[in-house]
Amino acid sequence: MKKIAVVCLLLCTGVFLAFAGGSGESSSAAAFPAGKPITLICPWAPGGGSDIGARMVVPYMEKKLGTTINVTNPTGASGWVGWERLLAAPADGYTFAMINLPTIYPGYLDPSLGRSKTIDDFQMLANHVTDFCVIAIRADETRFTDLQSFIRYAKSNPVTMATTGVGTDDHILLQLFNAAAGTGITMVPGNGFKDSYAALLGKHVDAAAANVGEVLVPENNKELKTIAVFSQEASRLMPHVPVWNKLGIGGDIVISSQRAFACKKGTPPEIVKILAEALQEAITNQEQIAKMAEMGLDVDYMGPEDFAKHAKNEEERMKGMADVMGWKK
Amino acid sequence: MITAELLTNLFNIETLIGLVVGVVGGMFIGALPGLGATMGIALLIPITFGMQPTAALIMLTALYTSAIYGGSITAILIHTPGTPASAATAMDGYALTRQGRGLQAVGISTFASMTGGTLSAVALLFIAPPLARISLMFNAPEYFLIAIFGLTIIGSLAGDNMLKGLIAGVAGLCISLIGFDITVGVARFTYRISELESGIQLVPALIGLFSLSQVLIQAENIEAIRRGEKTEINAKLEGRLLPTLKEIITALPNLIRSSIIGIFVGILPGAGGDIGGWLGYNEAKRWSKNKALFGKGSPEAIWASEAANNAVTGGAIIPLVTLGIPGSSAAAVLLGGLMIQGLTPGHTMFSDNANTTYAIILGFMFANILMGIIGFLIARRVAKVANAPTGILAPVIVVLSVVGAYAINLSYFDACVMAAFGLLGYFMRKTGFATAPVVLAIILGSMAEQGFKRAILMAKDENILAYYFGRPICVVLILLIILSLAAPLGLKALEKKMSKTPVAGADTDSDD
Repeated sequence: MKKIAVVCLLLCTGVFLAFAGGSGESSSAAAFPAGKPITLICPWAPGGGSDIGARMVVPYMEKKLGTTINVTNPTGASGWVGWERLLAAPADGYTFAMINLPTIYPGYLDPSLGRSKTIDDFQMLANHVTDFCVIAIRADETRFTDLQSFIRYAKSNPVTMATTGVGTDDHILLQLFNAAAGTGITMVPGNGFKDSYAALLGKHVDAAAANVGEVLVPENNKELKTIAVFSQEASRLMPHVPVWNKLGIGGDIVISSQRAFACKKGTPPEIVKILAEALQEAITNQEQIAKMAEMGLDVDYMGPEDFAKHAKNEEERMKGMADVMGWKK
Repeated sequence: MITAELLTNLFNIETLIGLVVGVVGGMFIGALPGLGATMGIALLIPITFGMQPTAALIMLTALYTSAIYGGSITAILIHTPGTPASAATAMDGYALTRQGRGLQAVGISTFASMTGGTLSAVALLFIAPPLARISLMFNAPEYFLIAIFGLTIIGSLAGDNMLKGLIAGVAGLCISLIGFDITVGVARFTYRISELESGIQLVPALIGLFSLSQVLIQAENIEAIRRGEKTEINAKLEGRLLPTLKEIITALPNLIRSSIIGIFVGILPGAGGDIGGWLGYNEAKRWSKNKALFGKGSPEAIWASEAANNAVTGGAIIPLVTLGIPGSSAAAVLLGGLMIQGLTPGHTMFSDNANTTYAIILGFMFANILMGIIGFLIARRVAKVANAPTGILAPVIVVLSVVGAYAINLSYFDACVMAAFGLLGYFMRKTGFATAPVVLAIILGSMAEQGFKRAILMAKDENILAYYFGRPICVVLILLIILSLAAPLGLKALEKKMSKTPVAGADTDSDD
């Protein structure tokens, strides 16, 4: 008899699992959004940098669209759990997502993952933040003090550099850097900047590849020294840091981590236009820009067409690195 | 140090409200399976936008420590650890509840959590900067060894059957291999399921192995109870709630040792509350005169794991405020809370913003004390949950387990993982396997693997063994591991010679 009870409980579990599954909603395109709530998928943990950034634009968009925007955080698979949820929802504009470059690429360019969706399944809406890559060393480092001496040291000694993982912008930067400077720096991957920072400060690695937004506070605290930034122009937030492309060492390296917004491809153009305009207004809002700058993030608005073109170019660069990334069929 | 500005920051109505909301809210969130401190802080952060920095951060840090404590209440009363940090408490706490000493166990947990949390606040107040520098001396090579040291705990969780304990541990290690390899970025054992790319999540697995399996075991008796063949194994809930002065004095060395372990684990960025509780537990067992009682209702176990896991909270905030390196995943979310308030971690926290920082730390200390007071006030009522008939309690726990597993990542998949681990846990316990080694191995498996792989890269061209032996902390850790493996074997041989009394198994009390 006790078996029956066990079976009953399992059924009970099953029923709740079924409810937890949730269901999609569809609605017509007329007078979007017509006061209906919109869902913003942020595929990163609540409270993290990406999540706070996404939530920063929400109030301005809500004001413009006259409706509520609910942020949800389905996490996992380097963002793809959330992005697959967007692509499974109807293309009606009531669901849009934060997407991150170059984080999105390895998820489908790596054939071993067997993912059929690509960046072409997304309708770009706007770029929000461009956070350029940097190389940082300890402020009290004596073996090298600037980029030139760092490269000189790295050519004759084994050097390690902390990054935030395989397939991240930091990893790509290190690959491009090794090729351009003729060094053979070893990557030590971690889980996020906190690992890189702890490893660098504790003298367990020699340098760290990171982003402006991450090194800004440690630099102001005189814990780290940023020796190069990989942007076109000097960083607005760190104007004193030399720009790689202007040092004339070789190679043209511009690389960043970008946070943008997209909806599903096939969303009616008039709805795309409404969402894109609401995002443009929110992202170019001065108050929002100031708040983001306080957190060390440089707001860099790009419209739907510009950003889509940019994303395709980035995809090409990523494809060219298949060997380095170890993507084999 | 104490200025008028600090006092006005600390004693105003907004701060007091934040303090109470954090403590009470934390207890609830912590007690619910699935929702833990990290989630609770993330949920509260949007509310802090309009608050003063002091009030906002006192609320968030109060919620942090209180959630870790709240998780122990359900762990003790219904074998459902509300957060992974209380997993070590569940075994002995629930065993005590079954013996009718649930109230005493909750009392011990309350006192230990309060003490551990307060001591960590003291460390945060007085020695934060040097402790943060010490934490930097630990990195991947050391984390690998700490994880291995932690895995030796399986030996003390296995009960009478070491082989079954080791099998469970290896199973957990295998589970921890699922997902991306961080050094080469290759997906392992994911079978093209997106959700598996980030590995099996700890919390759903923990809820399944502890809570759901417990419900299934209890459900076996529902029918027999209805027919009157069996009676509910109701806990009588006798005994005193407040530990006596004598008990506290006896437990004092354990309490202080466990708090120090907790603070230390807390300051390490690679280790959080879940590991702190286990290490406290294991050291308490090692130093105990009554080792055989561990796993079967030892008050010492609860003193240790609960003091340690709450001490982790203050410890984890130490590198956060001094360097901006969070010591745990909950502290990582707290970092977001700090930044929103315009407080940047670093030495300015202790100079320019000293009045705010010290007010927050003092508020955190009060939060730990308030948490203890509220805990003692509500304990008698809350403990009645252990008396609820299985027919009511079981479905409620099932609902909470599913919702809790789903809520972490809003993932249907996680809820299924929870159900699968519930079944696994049920059959393991029916066949005499302990489930705790699986949980421990899932926590420590990836820590060990990542630590070792990163250590190889950090070693540059050097031989990996030479690299390890060239690091003094590593040498100490290696000696500790050897000691912890060899000492019980030596003791066992000695015990065998002296007497031949059999020792009962760890999980047999759940069998019928």
